[in-house]
Amino acid sequence: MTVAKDRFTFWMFALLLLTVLCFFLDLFVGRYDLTFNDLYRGLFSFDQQETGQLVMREFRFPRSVTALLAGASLSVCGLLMQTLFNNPLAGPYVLGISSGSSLFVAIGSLTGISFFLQDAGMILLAFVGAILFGGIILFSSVRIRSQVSLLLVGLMLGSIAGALITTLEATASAQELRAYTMWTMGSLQQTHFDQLALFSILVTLGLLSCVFLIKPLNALVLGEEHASLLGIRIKHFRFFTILITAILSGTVTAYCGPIAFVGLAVPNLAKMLFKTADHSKLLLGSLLIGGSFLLATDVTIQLLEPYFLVPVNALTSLIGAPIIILLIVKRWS
Amino acid sequence: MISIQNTQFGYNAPILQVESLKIDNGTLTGLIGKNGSGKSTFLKTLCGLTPVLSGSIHIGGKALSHCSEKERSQLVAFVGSSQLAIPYLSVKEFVLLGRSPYTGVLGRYSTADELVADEMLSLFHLDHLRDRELAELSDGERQLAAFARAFAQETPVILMDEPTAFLDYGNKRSLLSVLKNATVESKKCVVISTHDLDLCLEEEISILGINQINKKTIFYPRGTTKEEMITQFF
Amino acid sequence: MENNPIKIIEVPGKRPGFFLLNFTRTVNRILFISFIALLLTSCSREIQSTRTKKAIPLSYAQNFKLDSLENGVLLTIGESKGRIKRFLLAAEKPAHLINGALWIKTPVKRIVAFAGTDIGMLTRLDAAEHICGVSDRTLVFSSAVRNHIRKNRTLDFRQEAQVSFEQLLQCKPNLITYSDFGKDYPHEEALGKAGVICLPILDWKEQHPLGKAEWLKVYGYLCGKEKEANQAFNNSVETYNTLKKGISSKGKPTVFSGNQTGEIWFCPAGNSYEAKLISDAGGDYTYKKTKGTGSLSLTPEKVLTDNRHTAIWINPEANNIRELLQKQGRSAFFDAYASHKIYCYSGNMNKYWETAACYPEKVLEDLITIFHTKNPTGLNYYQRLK
Repeated sequence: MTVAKDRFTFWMFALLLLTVLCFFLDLFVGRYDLTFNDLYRGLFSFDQQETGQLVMREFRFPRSVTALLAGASLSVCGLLMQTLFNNPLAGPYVLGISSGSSLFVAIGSLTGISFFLQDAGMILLAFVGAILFGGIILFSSVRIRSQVSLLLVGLMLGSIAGALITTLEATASAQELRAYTMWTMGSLQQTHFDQLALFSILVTLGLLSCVFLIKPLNALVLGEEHASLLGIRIKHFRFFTILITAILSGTVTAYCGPIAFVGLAVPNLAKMLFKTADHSKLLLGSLLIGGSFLLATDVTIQLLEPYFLVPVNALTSLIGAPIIILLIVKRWS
Repeated sequence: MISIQNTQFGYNAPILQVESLKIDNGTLTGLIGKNGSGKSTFLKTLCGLTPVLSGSIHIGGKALSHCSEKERSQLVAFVGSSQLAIPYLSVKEFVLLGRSPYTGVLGRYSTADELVADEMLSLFHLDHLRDRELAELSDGERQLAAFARAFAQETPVILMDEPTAFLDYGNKRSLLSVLKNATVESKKCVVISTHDLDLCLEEEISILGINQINKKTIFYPRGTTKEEMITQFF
Repeated sequence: MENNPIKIIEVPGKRPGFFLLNFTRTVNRILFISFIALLLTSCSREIQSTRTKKAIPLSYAQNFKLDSLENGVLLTIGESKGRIKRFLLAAEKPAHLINGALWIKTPVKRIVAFAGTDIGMLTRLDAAEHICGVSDRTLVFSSAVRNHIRKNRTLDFRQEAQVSFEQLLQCKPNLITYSDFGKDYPHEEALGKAGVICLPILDWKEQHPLGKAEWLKVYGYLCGKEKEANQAFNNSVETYNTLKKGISSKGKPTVFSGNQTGEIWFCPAGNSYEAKLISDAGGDYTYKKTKGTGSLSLTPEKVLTDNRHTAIWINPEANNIRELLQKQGRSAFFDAYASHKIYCYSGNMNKYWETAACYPEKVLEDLITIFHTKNPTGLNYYQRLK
């Protein structure tokens, strides 16, 4: 028993170290050379005239923090969805909440009504969309007993949003279309320094709330019936899981656009690495693996930048998929 | 103990009726009936998973319909018929899950919980398997682990839906015997549904039968002969 | 007479064979002579056409060619190494067409103008009355065309992307001009069968500002206004070159151009049309040394660090400062922002997109004023961002 515990502690420390390392790498890798001085000054005694400090504060720091928060949030959401639906292929977007964000952002950017409502406006629109669709799913979760039916509702919401978006795309001008398409590619660089506070608070709240889900999640591996008979209030649990997922994935989508792959792959990776069904370990593990993964992806983007500009979504899948395949092959050989 | 008065069981229409039934502590009862006769429905209703159509059920003196999930989880434990081969879950962790009704909001297990789990593991002779993954065990061992979990829950009543269904004869026999001893020792009230009438008679446990014709249950205490039973419900 | 294949048939009273024989021989002779004549004349016609094909010289344009032929003008659109389309501009349909060229009956009476710049050029040539359809009324600057739309003489298709085949035929056009970005116009063949020719416009590809203006000649030949087109073009060239010469003595301010969409900043490359304008106007463009004729994709970080202290910022694609900050929040860190030296053609976006191509001298004039005057006034297209 202690061997496993030691093993777990070792991995946790290693991951924590990895995350911190990736964070600092992301801060300092790039075309413009920066120093620790720039970091310290840029954050605490900012002098706008110093280009180094400016780059650190306005570009690098927000980017790294966004990568960390987004990676952690999406991975945790993915884990919640996978356990809730007992399906290793579920991801944070399976309930269609991010489709709500996409739809409202599309309305904002494609109809020409508030085309210039970009930046802060886009974020607000994405939030509204997430809350609306999240609300519909939450309402449905109270009425619908079966998990599969709930999944279907999520899928249908996604389809409706997709259809509406396509219609909007057909009547949009080339410029509007381009702006919207760029949003759907996902970006870790759209957050401004002063937006980081709210972003961090929301994510932290969401992640901390997951602590109360550990017990029901652990029981849920036995199936809903058994979990219920072990004293878990299934309806409550479902409601709060969906609520937390909506908040976390909605926030990330609002600030970054839809980021693919992370929420799906990282929880599976965590399970394969830690070989446990204990969600206290899995949640922490997914959080750290997700954070460092997205940070490492961003470092790669920075390294490739002089040669070509790669969108985040492309790289997450390109890097992540081979790793997953490797692990699966290793496990089954 | 289990006490049922004038109750109708079923989903939309009544499948089964019980006028009056009392099952005492320290007894292992086999629930026998044809397929489709309502065994699963009966057990699920006794758990509280399905509501009764009419009437009342009392478990350990408390009315089932007035219990919250938590209270219920401390009164009734349930073992389903499907084999739970959950990846990455060790036997010890699996049995510990049975302590969930007694853990706090964060689900941490106290030393007392660990002790109970260890006790149950030895009761069912699983000490040597405690750190193995559930998926690695044989069917029989996995079933024993399920018993251990249910017992770890420390409820006065334990219900099991065809726990010996997928096992070979030797395993069935030993499992039933272990179960009977554990039941008597811990003075619990255990009801298992099964098809193996002969086995139940051999092990000398009481039988609860379901009559297809009048859709009522009949209770046969230990020692009733086979002939008497067969004429009644097969 | 000895090898006469026709038998002599005895018919009382006449000398039949002789008559028949003579007839055949004559027919043969006639046939032979006409055949030779035909051969000779067609030959000479071919010889005549190639002999009379004369290239019309162009000064700056690279993406079209004009050759005058005996029966009309051959318009070749496209670069010599890439996709080429040929059109024969003639009053009458020729007997046969060379090299798959399509015939356009000139002067063209009814044009559907989807390219944007076509409206500007046709208006300059006073040929706006020939425009029978536009893609979106709200994007039209030309008052002449707007007038026609109001009087229902010109059709507004409201968003080109969706125009259907039937809708197009409704206004009975002879020609559709559209900006070609690499693909044929949809339903081009079917339209051809209905008598409508689709003419790709590649003025956007021209690297030299005057090369764009030279497309006036295309429209001139299409509408029978070659003289006016040549005149207008020459005027532009003269004015442009005069302006260009006039600035040699003044200093060169640093300039950058471009804007951000999503994660990427798009700035014109070193050999592009905008870079040429900037250098001709006496500005020192940050990325003048880069290669390419399109846009550069750069990260916001690079653009900021490269242009922090650049004096002037043009073409940020925003109408005012508030909009600029909403779209690109980090704009505030540029020196050009602090010194209020951001300029865009935001006075009237439609005017710019429609007419800047055929009046490059006006754009140059604006840029020269912006670059070399402290408080630029009297600009044609540009205005300082407020």
